[in-house]
Amino acid sequence: MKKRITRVILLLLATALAAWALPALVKKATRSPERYPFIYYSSLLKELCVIDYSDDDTPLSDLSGKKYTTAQFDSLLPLLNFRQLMADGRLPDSIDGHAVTPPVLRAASFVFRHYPATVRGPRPALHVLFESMPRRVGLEMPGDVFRLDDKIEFIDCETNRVNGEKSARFQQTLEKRGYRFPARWNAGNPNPRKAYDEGYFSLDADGRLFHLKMVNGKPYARDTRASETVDVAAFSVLEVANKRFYGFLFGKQGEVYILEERDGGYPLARLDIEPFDLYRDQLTIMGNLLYWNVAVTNPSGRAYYALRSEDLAQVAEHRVAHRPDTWERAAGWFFPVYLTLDDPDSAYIYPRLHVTGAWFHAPLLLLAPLLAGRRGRRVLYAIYILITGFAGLLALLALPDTFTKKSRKR
Amino acid sequence: MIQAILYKEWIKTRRAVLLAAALLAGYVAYAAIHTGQLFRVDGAVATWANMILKDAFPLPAALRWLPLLTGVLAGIAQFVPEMTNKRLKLTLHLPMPERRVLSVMLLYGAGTLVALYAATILAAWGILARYYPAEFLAGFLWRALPWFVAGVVGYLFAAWTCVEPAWTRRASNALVATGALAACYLDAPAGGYLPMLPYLALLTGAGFCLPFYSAARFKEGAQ
Repeated sequence: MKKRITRVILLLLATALAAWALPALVKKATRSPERYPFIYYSSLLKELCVIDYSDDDTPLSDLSGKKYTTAQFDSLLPLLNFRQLMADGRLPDSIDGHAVTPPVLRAASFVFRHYPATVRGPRPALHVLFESMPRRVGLEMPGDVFRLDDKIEFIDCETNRVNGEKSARFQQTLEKRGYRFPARWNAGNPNPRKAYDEGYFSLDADGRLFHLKMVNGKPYARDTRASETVDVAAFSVLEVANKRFYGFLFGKQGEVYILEERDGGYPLARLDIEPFDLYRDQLTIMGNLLYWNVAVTNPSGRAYYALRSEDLAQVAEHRVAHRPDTWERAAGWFFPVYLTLDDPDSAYIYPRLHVTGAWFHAPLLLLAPLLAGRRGRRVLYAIYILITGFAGLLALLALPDTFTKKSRKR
Repeated sequence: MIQAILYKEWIKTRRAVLLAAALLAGYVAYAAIHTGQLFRVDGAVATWANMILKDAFPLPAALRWLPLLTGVLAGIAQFVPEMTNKRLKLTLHLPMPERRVLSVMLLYGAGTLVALYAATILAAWGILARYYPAEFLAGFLWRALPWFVAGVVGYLFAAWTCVEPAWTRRASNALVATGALAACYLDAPAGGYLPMLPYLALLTGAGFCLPFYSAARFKEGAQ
């Protein structure tokens, strides 16, 4: 192998490593993640309010900046602070004409989170199907797991063999209900720490969303018919204690729906929010009896929405723009291009090239003739530094003889 | 001539290769005991649930570092004797093109490691296949593969660092090697490394080329 070729390979490797490691170190030293305020809709003030738990005296303020004491905070957000109000004996009998009791409030409260990495990563290949009508309180892990792709198969944990009889029963039921194999994806919640189980939602080969669960040991499968209304991109099961809905359905056009449970059917109700990018946006929903607090976070900032629980219509909205931190400013100055191998919004590892488009490192070009010395090829050195910035400069400092005909002996 | 070089490499590295084989065989035996105990004490249901809920790795964590350890060990055992009293000069003066001599030496080391690693993966697969379905086995393979690649890359980088004649360059080589190997040890769920595998193949290719650079510097008499 020619020495010159290996020298170039070494320079490229050193540059790639510097373009990955240097920014990663600078990022670690300078990164301070954006801290967006915690915003919640007040059912009494009828507006979004900012909560700052680090402020002991006045944790609550409205968007105009008016501050409220801790006692006022509890009273003005009764749907968030009902446990405290109950302990103080101050829980009202009704809010907005709705009778409230702790069990009713507790049953309607939920927190749902979506992270892009859940859809930008390997999907689980094996799933757990609980008994949906257990005889005893609480869910128990079943003795088998199942795979659902070109057919459905249950595998017994003890024997590590396919349970042919159970698999055939579920296969027949799915086929009878019109499910067409292979499955595109399956969504469920395998964690037994939940109030009850609603099984799995599976998108079949035709893009139709099916509901699959096990009731008294028997298969239950239904076409939700959601695909007649929306082109389904993803589904996230959430078992909330009041059993109002099965989970969140994401459409390919950025729509977010809940799939409701009503009279054996599966009606859709759309959340009145801006189009949602499943692969880039984070979503947090804190639901209570009367209002849902929705926060959508993406690189441009965070959007807050308050939706009326009853019909999911928007009643308030607020946006906080993203402010670049020291790292983002530093990247613009020092690294015209840099590499990362991981990404907080993805579970996959591979090199990603980031082009900041900044050329403030241009003064570094003055070093090119110095590095090239008498050996010529100054333009080549300058171009390399121009494209790669500090990473390339560092690699060239370590290997100054890369583009020259004769190498140094030291 | 190639057979003679291979024999020379075997004489040089046999103790290290046997040590690496013993380490890997010891690991496989321990993995078999560990897995058996896991299923006996925790039970199959809890163990499978742990795999699904926590994306747990089915074997003892030492597998993360064992291939790298054996790879670096093989590299040092093969190339440090070459640098003692500059014996590499004699090797490069054999009646065969220098590039070919070094290629045979590197392919011997890399090939031996690949054979050892393949045997380890097969043995571990055989143990796990008794207890786990195919999906978990695939998860094990995709998660462990970057660590085995790190073993081969670690060997090539160790060879590069050993062959390099100047100590300052050896230090910078070790720095580059550490950075490159770190790319094999990022946290990812099972299957998360799949898109990275072509780039790891490129890294292995680059690792194979680099000892030629240092050998050329050695021949030029760089100090």
